[in-house]
Amino acid sequence: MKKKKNEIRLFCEFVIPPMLIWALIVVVPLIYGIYLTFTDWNGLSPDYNLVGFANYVATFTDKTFLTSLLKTFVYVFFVVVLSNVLGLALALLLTYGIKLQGLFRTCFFAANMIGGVVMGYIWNYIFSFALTKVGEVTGIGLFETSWLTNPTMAMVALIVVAVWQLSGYLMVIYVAGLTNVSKEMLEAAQIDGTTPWQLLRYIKIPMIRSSVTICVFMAISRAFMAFDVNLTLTAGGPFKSTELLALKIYQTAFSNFDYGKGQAEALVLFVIVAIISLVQVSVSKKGEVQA
Amino acid sequence: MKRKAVATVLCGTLALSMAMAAPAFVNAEGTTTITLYTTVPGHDADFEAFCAEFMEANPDITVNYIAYDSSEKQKWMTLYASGEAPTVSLMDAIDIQENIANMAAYDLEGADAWIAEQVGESNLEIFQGEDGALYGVPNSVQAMGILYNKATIEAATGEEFDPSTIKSNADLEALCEKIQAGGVAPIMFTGVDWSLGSHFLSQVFSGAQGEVEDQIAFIEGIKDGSIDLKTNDVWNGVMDTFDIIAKYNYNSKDPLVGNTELDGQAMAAGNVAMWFMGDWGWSYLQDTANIDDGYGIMPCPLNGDSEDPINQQLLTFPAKGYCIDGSQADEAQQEAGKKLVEFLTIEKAQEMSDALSMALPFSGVDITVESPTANATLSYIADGATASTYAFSSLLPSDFWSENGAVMQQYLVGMMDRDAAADAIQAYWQAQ
Repeated sequence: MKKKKNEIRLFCEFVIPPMLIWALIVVVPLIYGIYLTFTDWNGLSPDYNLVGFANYVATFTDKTFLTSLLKTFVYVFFVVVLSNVLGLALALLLTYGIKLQGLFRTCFFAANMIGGVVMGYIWNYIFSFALTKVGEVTGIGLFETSWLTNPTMAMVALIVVAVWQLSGYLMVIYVAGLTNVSKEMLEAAQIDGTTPWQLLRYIKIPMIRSSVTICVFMAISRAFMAFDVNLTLTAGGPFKSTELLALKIYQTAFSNFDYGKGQAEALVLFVIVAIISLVQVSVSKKGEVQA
Repeated sequence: MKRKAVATVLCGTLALSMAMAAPAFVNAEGTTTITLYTTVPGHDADFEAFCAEFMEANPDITVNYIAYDSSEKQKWMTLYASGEAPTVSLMDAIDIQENIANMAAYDLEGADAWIAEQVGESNLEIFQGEDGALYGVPNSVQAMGILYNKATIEAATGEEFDPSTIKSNADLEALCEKIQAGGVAPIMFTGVDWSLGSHFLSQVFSGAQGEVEDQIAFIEGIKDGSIDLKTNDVWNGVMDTFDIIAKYNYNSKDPLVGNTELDGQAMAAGNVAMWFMGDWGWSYLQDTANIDDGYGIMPCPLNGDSEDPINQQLLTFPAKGYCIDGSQADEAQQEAGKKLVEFLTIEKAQEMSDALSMALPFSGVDITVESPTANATLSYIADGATASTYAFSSLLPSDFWSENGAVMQQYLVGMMDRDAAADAIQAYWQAQ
């Protein structure tokens, strides 16, 4: 009886306070945010009206929202695939035992230490002025004009920058996974005569499936939420051709003073990311193996 | 015992910090505390210095300056939502209109009568609410148009340049032709959406349509479809001018690389003679330009009729306005805020003009403006050669520049023809 009382006391002391804080800073704003999607609030006015599902109808009938959603899917697909492939490739190279591999790991990871806004401005300068100078001097057509003024190339530029930043981060997770692969198992496989490709395909990748799950999940969520680089590198331009969903939501809520609709768009994005992430994690988890 | 003591200290600290965080607008000594928020980038130090001087002159008022935040409107919305609305905010007229329910009106019959004495009606009407009350006081007056470097033009053409000779877009084209023959790039667009979509395109809806009522009627006509933008004479005249500037554009190789700093440097270096921008463009020029070259601003001609006065009228507008919060600030704070506005606009007029390199709309202050382009603006105002920009300041929705800037950018790079651009802009209005 006394033990049970003690457990209840401990629960009250250690579980309820953080749960209350979590509810206050996560659950309450979420519920209030959902409520705001049913209003015509402009973000400033003390008064607003309930408008039912009008913001959701407006969101799904807004061509610019649907275009932005499609562009976001394209962006996410390339960022997730390329950043993971590059991250894994770097991790494989830097667990090979080459000289100064610790330094190289730090260098590749360093890209992730730069804030998104600063990085956007740096790459903006590179694409607009540094590469165009290279094009001017060498005559390479690809660099003669800024990538950021061409709709297709501006999207490529966004993907390049995101992959450049994210792959170093994912590399660290892959490195952690690869260094945990049993050396005995690798040696046994080599004694059995596996080729390096077979070693990667049938030993290493299956053994780091949990790292793959985490990396793909992180890449998906970060790519869907891309905002700061989008804002500072292309600002959605040229002519809105690179306006990804997070930026579009920001514009709707804060530039157009249409907070209710912006909130509805944000909720749609939240649902999309949640569904995709849950499916991805559950599918990936099924394939994980234990050594 | 030890744990109890630690808990007591922690609780005490928490209570103290909460007490300190609580708003104490009027303290025991009767000091009124107010806040000032501005959306003028790069001038925090200037505004902080003005606030310090104000507090020195008014020891019973404390002003907390809220640093500039590049998110501007988002920051403003956050401050309101978190119950920390700035007592005084320096915002665009359209933003003040969006937030008018939270604003306190100026009392033009009483303590704020100085505003009507100092500022002309044309610079106040965009800050008036539907109830006719005034909710903003302009901080400066600016102009959009064509900046020119007189020395560059004269060196290229071999003739003396007089901006008043440009009476139509045909005159502008002839001048561009001469400058180009002289081996200099005649003119440029900075291909950013705010310049093309907000400034250039707004000329279709502003003074070229007539006075305020005409501008409202035109936009209503576009919305209800009774006016077809494609066949509208003003639209076609303005777009003819656009085509001329695009034809002789210094940035034509890559028109959408929009960098005002580099464009300013190109003009200061004499590589290009004219620039569609505004008198604020001097801020991009001043570090590298030789002021003796004779910089100025002239109206952008909007059609081919040299008899049409609009071609020689500069589009001037009050850039931003000081508004007073009425939703979270009490009476004493509102009064203190209004006092600060008078201090910043009238008492510190010269310093403010120097700091912002801008002309001011106040008739009762005698100041010297350093910027040659702002001085050119003042000359047009003094001569009465200005046109209404009511639509630009008050009728264009907040997203006008980004939505239609994208259309104008596509037109500039040839991805859209004139009719398609007109249809897109008309569709935008009809969706409002």
